Amino acid sequence: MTQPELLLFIQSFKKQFLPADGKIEVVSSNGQSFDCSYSKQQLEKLNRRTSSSLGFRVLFDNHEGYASTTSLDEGDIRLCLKMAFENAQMITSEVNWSQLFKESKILQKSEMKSLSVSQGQPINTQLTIQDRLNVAKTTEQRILEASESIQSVPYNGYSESDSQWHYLDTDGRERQQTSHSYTLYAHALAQNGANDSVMRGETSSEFTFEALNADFVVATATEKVLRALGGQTPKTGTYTVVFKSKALQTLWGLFVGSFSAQRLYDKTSPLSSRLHQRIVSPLVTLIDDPLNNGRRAYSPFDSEGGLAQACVLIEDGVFKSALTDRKHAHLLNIPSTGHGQRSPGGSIEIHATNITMKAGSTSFESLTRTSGELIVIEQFMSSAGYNSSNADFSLEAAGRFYEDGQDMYPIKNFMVAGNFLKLLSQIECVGDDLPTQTDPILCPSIRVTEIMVAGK
Amino acid sequence: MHILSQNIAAMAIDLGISCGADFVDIFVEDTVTSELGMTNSKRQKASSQQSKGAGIRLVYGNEVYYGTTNFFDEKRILSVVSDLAQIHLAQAKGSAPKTSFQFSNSQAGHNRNFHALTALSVRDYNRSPLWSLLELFDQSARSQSVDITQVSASVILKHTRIEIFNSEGLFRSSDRHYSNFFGMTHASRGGQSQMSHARESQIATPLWLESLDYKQLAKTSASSALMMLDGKAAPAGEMPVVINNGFGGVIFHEACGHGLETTSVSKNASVFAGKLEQQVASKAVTAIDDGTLTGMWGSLDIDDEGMETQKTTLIENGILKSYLSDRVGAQKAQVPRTGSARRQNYQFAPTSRMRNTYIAAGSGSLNDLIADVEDGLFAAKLGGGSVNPGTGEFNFSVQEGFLIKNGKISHAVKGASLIGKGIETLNRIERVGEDLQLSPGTCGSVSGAIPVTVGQPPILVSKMIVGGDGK
Repeated sequence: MTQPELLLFIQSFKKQFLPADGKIEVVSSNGQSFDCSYSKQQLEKLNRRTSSSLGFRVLFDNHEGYASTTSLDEGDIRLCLKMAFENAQMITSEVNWSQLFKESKILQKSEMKSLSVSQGQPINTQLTIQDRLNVAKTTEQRILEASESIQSVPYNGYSESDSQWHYLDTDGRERQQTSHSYTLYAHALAQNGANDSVMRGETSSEFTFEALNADFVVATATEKVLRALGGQTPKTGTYTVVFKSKALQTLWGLFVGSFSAQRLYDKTSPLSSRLHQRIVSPLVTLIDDPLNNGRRAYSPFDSEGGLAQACVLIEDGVFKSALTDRKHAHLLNIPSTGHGQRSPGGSIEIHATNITMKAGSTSFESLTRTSGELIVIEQFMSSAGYNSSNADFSLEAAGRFYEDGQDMYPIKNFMVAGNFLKLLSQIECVGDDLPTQTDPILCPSIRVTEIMVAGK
Repeated sequence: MHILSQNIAAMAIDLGISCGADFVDIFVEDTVTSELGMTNSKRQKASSQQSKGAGIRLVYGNEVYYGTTNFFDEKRILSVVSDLAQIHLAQAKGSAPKTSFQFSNSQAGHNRNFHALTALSVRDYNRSPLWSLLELFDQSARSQSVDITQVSASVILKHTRIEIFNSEGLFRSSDRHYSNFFGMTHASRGGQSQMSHARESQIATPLWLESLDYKQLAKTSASSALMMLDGKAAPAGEMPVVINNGFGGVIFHEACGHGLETTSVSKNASVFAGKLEQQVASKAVTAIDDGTLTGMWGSLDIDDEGMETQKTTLIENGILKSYLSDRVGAQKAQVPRTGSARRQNYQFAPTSRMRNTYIAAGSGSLNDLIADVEDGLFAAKLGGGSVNPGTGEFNFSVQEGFLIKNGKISHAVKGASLIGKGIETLNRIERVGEDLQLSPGTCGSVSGAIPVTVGQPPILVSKMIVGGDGK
């Protein structure tokens, strides 16, 4: 079914089965991906995947239903829309969609009907598969040759993906986003004796093949894993802790779902009923920017046909705005921010996009320049141990032990526990080391007092 | 009626073999999923998904080339094979073999008949009765206390029909029915919040969901959230830990199970590599991975390479007896196949994965184990975790914990996590109790997210690092 045929089909279905103020939305995606990895210089696996799927959302009165299919056969598509309609009939939402469509400015007919954006560049057609394989193979080889302590690079590889995402609704609104991404990664396993083994890695994610930084991946993965050898477990106690950018990024990644208007409405967010209140230190300002085309969560429009907006989530410690989809903006009577996203097979969920915590003015050296003992958390080993209902966390970490401002030795096999909001309230200073990468979450390092560390 | 024509499958396999592949297989899938969900005491979500596709694998020595398509016509199926062969720089030699298949429907011919051929599928099932059961869960949880501030409940029904063809002439098909209930209860009081979940999952047709005791599930979930609301901050440091039965078995899943998959063993990225027939755990530990248990969430009649699953003894009285292997993993690690090849769906090539993994029953009650601890932690209910098989370091969260003082439960503690190293922790298992229970979960790894069961009787670990905020 072509796009014009699909539009005619949903308009005809709407006319036949839905009230005049009902609506049908279609999200479809097509993707191709390639990835490969090596094990001791032998090709381990090579995947070349293609995928396509299409999903309907049917909205009328207080009914909302979804159905999707990966089959683009016309019969399956017709059956799929029928299923979405039947599903909608079962639902009794808090929202009267017909009423909402009338009220919501985001759905005014005057809005731009057709929008198309792209991110990244298609791969240079002169580059062969062999060129891609070589990038992965030489990256593994260079790390293996860097030190005798490096036993293997168990997780390594190159991947690329092209995806086309398309939105269409019965009002004739169309949105299209094309994305190209390239990733090179390597995690090296180093060993020094029977009881001292560590694995550390690095990733380069870019929008063009040429921008991939193999030197950075090799040098950083190698340095990280060798520096981590000989790690000790610190004594249990309360410490002043510096959370390096990467470690704080993990905590923000666990927490940003708390800004969802759905979770605020459902009272399952630790930020419920705290809008416009001071929630953390005035040193914290946090922004969500779906319009930044230089980062991976670029989403200039949502999956409801609306335009996305940048939001200041926290300003000088005050909770300023929530991220919304159309339904929960209406229920909470707050502005719609266009953050309702879905894949063809999923239902609308509110997702943060490109998150940035504003940098401070303290250099990393100054953050660690304290008298007595200090722990630098370089990374968390897992996200298991975070409680999304209250932001309590207890996570395994790795890093460095400092004494009187001097980097003494690596530390591992310990946990850091506390509450993320409390942690952000105890910030002493914010680093000036905001990374300039494509990652969806970017933040500087911070120094925090009185953090519980569980070790020996 | 077959999803993929046998003729097309044979042509694709012949093409792959004629291009020099040592082995070719095709995994075909047609899955229908339906989900119903409630939040805020309202029917909020009804969705259906259909997923159809094929994954084609060419194996050259130990190298795996894998491609996928959503289409089943001759042109596209063959083009996946020729694309992969071209990447290998292999050219069709023209003298293609003629593959013929030995059809075997996996539901016939042996006693692992998980679902009768006439089983009611989600494709035909009237879902309406399920709404009143979700409402029963919602109302029952809310009736436990005014401090219950939110309840959500959902069911997911899934029917997967698979077909597997390979260059050894194998053609097998299987129908897999998955039924899953998930409930979440939030409790809040005085600015404090906690949540607890209830889950029941089984290889079963949707009718099984109608037989669950939703009142009891709601009561248990609400009680747990309310109890944790009153909990004190968990202690921090090294101490003895009693880990409860059922989902407590995630400790073995993380501490050991992943390290026994040939996916990591074959590239020497596991602390268990090269340790067959060696002592890797205390003598109290016998551990099993069994894909044949009727109805269990990780059971399969055949694995995703078409091999019948089996009961595999991994560790016997502390001695490592077997790894878990798929075809390529077995070839690389030079061990027998164990029917453990699994994948999330056709988008993933199969790798060795766990099925229903548990520590076998020992002796002694839970109270006996707790009585052996002077000062320690009782981890009554565990959450998710992860492991690095290369270093053996694992971690997981404790959803419901209690302090043990002088051999008795003292009070509830919240916010605890546990970490350790695989072999070290397995050797610190001092006691294994008698009350074995299994519990469903979802395991994520290289071949995607798959249903598994973890399990154990209560166990006593002499020393683990507990991470909590208790000063």
